[in-house]
Formats: sequence, C-alpha cells, structure tokens
Amino acid sequence: MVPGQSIIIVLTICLALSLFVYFYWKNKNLKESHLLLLVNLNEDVLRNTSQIRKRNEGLDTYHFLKYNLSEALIVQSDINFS
Amino acid sequence: MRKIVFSVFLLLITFLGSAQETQKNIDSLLTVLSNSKADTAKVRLYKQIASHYNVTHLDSAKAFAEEGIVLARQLVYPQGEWEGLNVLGNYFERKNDYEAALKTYNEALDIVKATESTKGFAVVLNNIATIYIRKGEYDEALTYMFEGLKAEEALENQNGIAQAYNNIGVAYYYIQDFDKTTFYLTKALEIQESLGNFDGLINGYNNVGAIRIHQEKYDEAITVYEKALSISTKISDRKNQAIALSNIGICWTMLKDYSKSEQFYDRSLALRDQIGDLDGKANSLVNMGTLFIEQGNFLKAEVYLNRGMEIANRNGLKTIKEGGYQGLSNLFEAKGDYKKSNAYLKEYVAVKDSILNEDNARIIAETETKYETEKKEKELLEHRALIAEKELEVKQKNTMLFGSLGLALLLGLLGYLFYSQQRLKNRQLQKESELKTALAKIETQNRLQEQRLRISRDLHDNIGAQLTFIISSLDNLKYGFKDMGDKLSDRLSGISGFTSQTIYELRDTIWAMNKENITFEDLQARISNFIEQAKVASENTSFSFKIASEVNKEHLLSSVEGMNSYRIIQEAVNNALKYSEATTIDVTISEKNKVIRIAIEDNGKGFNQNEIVEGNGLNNMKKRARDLGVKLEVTSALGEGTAVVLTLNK
Repeated sequence: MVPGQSIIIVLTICLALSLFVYFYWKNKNLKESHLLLLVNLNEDVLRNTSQIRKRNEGLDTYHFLKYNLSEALIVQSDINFS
Repeated sequence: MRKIVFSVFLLLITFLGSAQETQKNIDSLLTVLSNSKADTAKVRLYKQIASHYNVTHLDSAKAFAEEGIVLARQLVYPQGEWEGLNVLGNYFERKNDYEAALKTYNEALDIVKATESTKGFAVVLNNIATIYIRKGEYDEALTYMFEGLKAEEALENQNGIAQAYNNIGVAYYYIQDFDKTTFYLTKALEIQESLGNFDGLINGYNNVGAIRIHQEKYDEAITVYEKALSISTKISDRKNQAIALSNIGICWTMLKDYSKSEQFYDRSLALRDQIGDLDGKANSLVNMGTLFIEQGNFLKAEVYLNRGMEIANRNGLKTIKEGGYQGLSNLFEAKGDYKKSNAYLKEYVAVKDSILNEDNARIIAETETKYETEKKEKELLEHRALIAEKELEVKQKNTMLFGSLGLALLLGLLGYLFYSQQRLKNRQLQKESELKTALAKIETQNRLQEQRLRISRDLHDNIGAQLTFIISSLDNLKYGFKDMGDKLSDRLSGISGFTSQTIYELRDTIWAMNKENITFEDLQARISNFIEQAKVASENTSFSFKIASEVNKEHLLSSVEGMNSYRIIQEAVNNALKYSEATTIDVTISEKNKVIRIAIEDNGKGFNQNEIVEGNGLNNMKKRARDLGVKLEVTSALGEGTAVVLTLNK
C-alpha cells in the first residue's frame, strides 16, 4: 500500500470518528432539551387536569336538596388565565 | 588506434555517468522520500533518485530533480539547489538538449560561485566542458576544463585532477593534437598509478605508446611502454609484461639498435614460452625474423620466420601469418630469390585481404551487434519506463479509488447521521406536538370552565341575592300589613314560593351549566339519599327503590338529563306523599333495548285523569320531560294508585 493510500485511510477514519462524536454530542443535547420540554408540558397538562378534576369534585358535592351551589362552585387558584 | 578510441570513450562515459543505484535501492529511496519531512535530507534524496532515473527512466528524472530544486529554494539550501540543477543539466544532456543543459549548468555555476564551493565549481565546470565537447566546440570545452582543473588542484583532489587531465587529453584527441593528448593522458595515468588505481593503466600506457609510434617518437614510446612494463611486473601480469617487452623491442628495431631489440624480444619470447602464449610466441618469432633480416642474418631470419609461421599456421593466426609472409617475402627479396619473394608476397596480399575482409566483416558484425544491443537496451529502457509509468498510473488510480471510496463513505456516513438526526427530531416534534395539542385542548377546556364558573358565581351571587331580597320583602309585607286580606296574603305567599322555586331552579341551572356529565351511579346515590330522607319524613309510608341488574351504572347522563330525571322523581314522590295517601311508593329503574325506564308507582287513591286539573307539580314534570325531549307517562285511576313513567333513550 502506497503512503498516499494510508493517509487517505487514516484521514477517512479520523473524519468518520469526528462525525460520529459530533452527531452523538448533538443528538444528546437534542434529547436532553426535548426531555426537559416534555417534562414541562406534562407538568402543565397535569396542572390543568388536576384543576378540572378539583372543579368537578366541587360540582359533585352539589346537593339537590340542600342547594349548596356556592360551596360547589370552586374557583381555581393554581392557574392564572390572563 | 581503435583501442585508443575505445579506451577514450570508455573513460569519457565513466566520467559522464553518475553512480547508478540498483532498482532495489531506488525503491527504498522512494519509500524513504515519501515518509520524510521537507528538510535538506529530502533534497538530497530527490537528487539521488533523479540521478538514478537519469540512467534508467529518463522521463521520471526531470520531475524529481525539479522537485528537489524547488524544495532547496524553499529551504534556502544552496548546495542542494546547485546539485539539483547539476542533475537536471545531466537530464537535458541525455535528452541531447544541449542549450537547456548549458543554461541549467550555468545557473548551477552561479550558485556555486556565490557560495564559493570549490567542489561544486569543479564538478559543474567539467559538466559544462562535456557539453561543449558534445557540441564539437573543443576550444570552449578546454577553457572550462582548465578552470575545472584549477578548482580540483585547489581542492588537492587527486582523483579529480586525474579525471580533469584525462578529459583534457580526450579534448585534444578530438582536435588531433596527439602530443597534448599523450601528455595529458600520461599525466592522468601517472596520478592514477600513484594512487594505486592500476585498473586500466597498462592499456592506457599501451594506447599512449601506440600514439607515439604512430608519430614515430620511438624514445617517448619506449618510456611509456617501460611504465606499462613496470606496472605489469608489479602486479605479476606476465602476459602484459611480454607485450610491453615486445613493444619496446619494436621501438629499438625502429631505432636500429638491434642488440637491444633482440634482448627485449628474447625476454618476451621466454615469458611467452613460460605462460604458453602461442599467439604471442609466434608474434615474437616473426618480429625476431624481421630483426635478423634488418641485421642481414638471413639464415637465422628464415629459421625464426618459419618457426613463427609454423605456429601461426597450426593455430590459424592470420595476423601473424600476414607479418610472417611479409618477412619471408622481404627475406627472399634480400637474398635475390624473387620468385619465392613474389610467391610469399602473393600469400601476404591474400592473407592481408582475408584479414581485411574478416576485419570488415567483424566490424560490420560488431556494429550490427552494437546497434542491436543499443536498440535492445533502448527498448528495454523504454519498456521499463513504460512499466514504471503504468505502475505509477495504477498507483494513482488506486489512490484515486481509495480517495473516492473514502469520500463516498464519509458522504454516506454524513447522510446517514443527518437522516437519523432528522428522524429523531421528527419523532421529538411529533411527541411535542401531541403534547402541546393536548395541553392546548385541556387549557381551553379549563379556561372555558373557569369563565363559565365565574359567570355562574356572578349569576348566583347577584340574581340569587336579588331573588332572596324579593322573598324577604314579601315576607316583610306579609308581617308588616297584618290586616291585609287572605286573598292578598295567599297571593304574596304564592309569589314568595314562586320566587323560592326560581332560586332553586337558577341554582340547578347554574350547576347543570357547569357540570358536564353525571354518572348513573351518582344519580342512583342521589335518588337513594332522597328516598331515605322521604322515609324519615313519612313514617307511615314504605318506600322501595330498585335498579335492574342490566342497567349499566357506568353510563353517563348529561347533567341536565340527570338533574331533570331527579327532579321528576322528586316531584312524583312528593305528589304521592302529598295527595295519594299511599302506603307504598316504589321507584324502579330498568333498561331494555337501550331505553332506560324510570317508574314511580304508588298504591294510593289515584285520580281520574279526565277530571283532574293539572297543578304546578304535574306541569313541571311534563315541562322537564319536554325539555329533555323524552316521554313522560302519567297513568292513574281512582282507587288504583298512580304510575309516573319516564323513558330515556341512551
């Protein structure tokens, strides 16, 4: 094998490894930021779900005979809709 | 003379030819070259490889020499530069491009002068001189050669000096100045002798001696032959000793000193006897015969000539026979026997012609052989150059192939990595999008609910408070005006009750507006609770509440359906308690063909449906059923109780 060919092989391997490392690092960052976003979105969904459930639980306490509507209507406190 | 020419050319070629490397060496040099960094050692490698290719692959030599020159210039390495230019000049010389060679050598000479390199000066000057010899400009060549000689003398380089003398001798040979030729060749030979370089010396002296005899300078010829004799004695070369002795004998014959001539011939003959050199012996015998003719000793002359001729005839030595027949012809001419003389003369002419023919044939054959050899060598060189070029081409192709494969691999890898990254991004975006959509949906739902709830609270707080104020005001009116009539009092009580009912309905509506669904199980629990309270309120009446097993308790009813169903049951039970005087009230819920049937039945007194005036309670139930878009059946007969049946479609 002539030296030129050896240089080409070594260069190709080095570049391939560099590409692998670069993309591994890039994908890792992407996954981390995606995970963080998912966690935040899930938290928001859960907060809203929890609020709706709380409100429904309040409405469930409305007694048809006692007419305790004021108690049954629970205004949320966790989420501020502007 | 041919020997001289051959020798001169041999020496010239020796001078011109640079040291040839073997193919093996050149391969290793190429390997070292490819791995070495750009320094002065690499410049020297370029020079060595170019020197080699100057002999084997002329076309490759130029590129290496030029690379070396460029690198030397980059490194500011003058020695490497002039050496490279010198090799490049060799290349042009071999390509017969003498003008380019001279230009290149002169460039090298400028560098050599600038760096005051005496060695380089001598080398480059000799090379320039060689070009002028090739161009036939001998005077110009000699000028450079003498300058080169001075440089070698300054260096005290004996080999170089001898080489310079030799070259100068060659130049003089070409211009037919044999005195100067022999002078410089002899000086070169003397230096070689003092250095102990005996190879070729004897031949060299013999050639000089031959030139001297040709010039009839026999004394000088004897001096030169004596040097050849001395060297051959020193190295115990008896054959060459005998030749030298014989040549000296010829010179003494020419000088008419026959006794000395005889002595040298005798010594030569004795040596040739010892070593069994028949050719030489026959020659010596013929020479001695000639000598005796010169001396007038015809008897002895005939004996020696016949002995010489006998050996020559036996061994087919035509050159000796030629001399022998000539000697015999001269002998018989001197003796006055012209007939024999004429006969030997004829033999002499015949042999001479034969030799001449043979010589011509040999020369032609040699020339042809030389031509064929040169042609074959040239073909071989061309073939090797072609192979080398093809190898280079294959290597280049392979390198290109490797490069292309590497590039394709890298591009493929890059594409794959981009593709996989894009796929990851797409998956992530899809997930994010789904989650964001879900969040937006639930946020919207939450926001709507919240708005509805705030409106509901406002309704409840404002309208509810105002309705309560109306009830309170009506109560105050009733108690404040005690003397009002019963009719007005009943009327006010009616308004107050209606207002209270409005408040309840407002609350129910607000609740139903906020509550989306109610499970059948929840409705069942609320009805059970109501029945339990009814039991407590009316101890004389037994209540039963039954739900068929086929009713799906997970079934969802809208909050309006659930509330109105509850209110209808509540109204029906209240009516039964209030008006029917029933002892049992049954509430049953069943399901058939996706239709829920709610029945409230009592065993009270019942009523005649055609006669009775429908009150608020019955109208309310019907209104609620209408609102729900469901069927409400009230069936009753006097003494047979009442049944209120509500059917809901699932």
